[in-house]
Amino acid sequence: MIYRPPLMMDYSVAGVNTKLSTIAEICYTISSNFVVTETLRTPSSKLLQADTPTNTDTVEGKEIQKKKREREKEMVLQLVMAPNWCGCGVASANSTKISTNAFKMSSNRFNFSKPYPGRAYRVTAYYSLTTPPYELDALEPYMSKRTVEIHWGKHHNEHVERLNKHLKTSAFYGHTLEEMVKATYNNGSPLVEFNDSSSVWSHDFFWESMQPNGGSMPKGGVLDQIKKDFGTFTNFKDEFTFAALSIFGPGWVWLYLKKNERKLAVAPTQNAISPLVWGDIPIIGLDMWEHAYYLDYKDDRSAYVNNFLDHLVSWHSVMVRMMRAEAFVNLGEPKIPVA
Amino acid sequence: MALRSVVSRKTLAPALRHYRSLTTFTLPDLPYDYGALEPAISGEIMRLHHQKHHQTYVTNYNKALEQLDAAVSKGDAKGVVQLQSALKFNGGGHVNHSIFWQNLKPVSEGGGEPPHGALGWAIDKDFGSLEALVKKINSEGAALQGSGWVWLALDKEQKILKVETTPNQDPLVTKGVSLVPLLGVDVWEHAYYLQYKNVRPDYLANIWNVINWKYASEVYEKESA
Repeated sequence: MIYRPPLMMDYSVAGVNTKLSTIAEICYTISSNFVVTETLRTPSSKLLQADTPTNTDTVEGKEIQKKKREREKEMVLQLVMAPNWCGCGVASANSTKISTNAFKMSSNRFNFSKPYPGRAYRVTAYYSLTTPPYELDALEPYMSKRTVEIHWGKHHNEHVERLNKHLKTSAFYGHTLEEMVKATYNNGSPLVEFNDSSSVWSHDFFWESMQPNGGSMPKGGVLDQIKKDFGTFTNFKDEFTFAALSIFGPGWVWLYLKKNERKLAVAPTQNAISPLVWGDIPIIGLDMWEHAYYLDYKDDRSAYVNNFLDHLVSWHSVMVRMMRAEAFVNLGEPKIPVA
Repeated sequence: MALRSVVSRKTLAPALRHYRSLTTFTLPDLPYDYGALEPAISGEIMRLHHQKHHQTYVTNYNKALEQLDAAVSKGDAKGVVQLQSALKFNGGGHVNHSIFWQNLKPVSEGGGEPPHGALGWAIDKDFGSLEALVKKINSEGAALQGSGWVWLALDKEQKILKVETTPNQDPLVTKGVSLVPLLGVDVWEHAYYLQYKNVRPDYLANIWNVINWKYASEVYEKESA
């Protein structure tokens, strides 16, 4: 069972991994959230293919051919010298070794935003399906492998694919996912991209809200905050369960931090809505759509919610999210013991 | 009558107060066995759908009705309005499912047989062909985000057939007061998930094998008379 700590929700570029599949195609991945698709291809963009064969019988023809070969060598050099994720270049047998500084200042440096000089292209980025931070069967017996496989591999995946389809023509291309959720919610009249973008965000959040051997009690600051805002930990659990069971139809239930009131609260939402749309900070998200529990629990929703709270919820994630939330919300002075 | 629900009279009257009798509802019986709609809809789904989900709607609807009754007799306007969403959800669930059980019939008893007579002509007139109607209902059902119902409706005023969708358990009348449900297909996940998992289009394609067009024709002829 592999468990890794949860990712932060800011999708910063973690690294660049270049892979040359063929000379004419470049496909690279930035973190696990972006896939750069190949460039628009014009018929003449295949690198080492001559546009038209030059007649090398004449002197001019020979010169033109020579220039073409030099140009092609330059372009290959650029591609081959493209830095991998740690920034160092890969030299081929035919290239010359140059110092890093000289490389950075040279015209041979790979330009990611313009990989084919002089060609027509557009580099676009889309979302890909992030994997949960545990094996698919790690949540047994409280959430079966079958459920995770279908919920993640089919439902979540479908949302990602539909989101990418929208992004091809959407005005919201370029927004971060959180920005897009808030913007496309449009204060209650959601735009067409809202459902899929919010579902993608919420499902990413959901998988990271759980861990194998989760549940039981939180510790330290998180427990103190919950006790402060709900009275007792049992009160919080009761409120969470009640909210989860009160939803009419598909929805989610959230533990979230209210920015203005600076306290934790529980709220149910309909369909794909999350606290992002009203500007607060989600801390735990539980999917109450039927597909999340039907295969394991049939219609017994309270067993599903209880098992989530007792055995699945990742208080580690909660702690990390609260820490991040404290950068935005002043939760009061820490209790520093007096000597 | 479209609804075959058995109504029972219950009185809520402690000793000296005024008498008010409240009509509550009970779960209607299915006109066929749970396993009779296989392989289009599995027996396990039918059993859970009827005994658990529909029963829950009936129970909660009765509870909401009792609370409504109390609020109305007390003159508690805020309470009455607050109960509306519970009434719409649970009452709608009861109404919709009662129609749904009528809309299905085992193959051996005529399920899946295409409509003849007035309804058949009306379908051809308004949609072109039965295949076109089925395709439209399937595409609207598959495209519905979340949970809801997809209906073949008769608009009594305009005297045409329409395909409508309603979210959650909203009954068809929320889309138009003159709409009469002829056929309703439940596209909540509990209606198909155990058998079809996430592939709602397969469920929609297969359910036509057990659709009771006779019932739809009867309702159509009665309401368009």
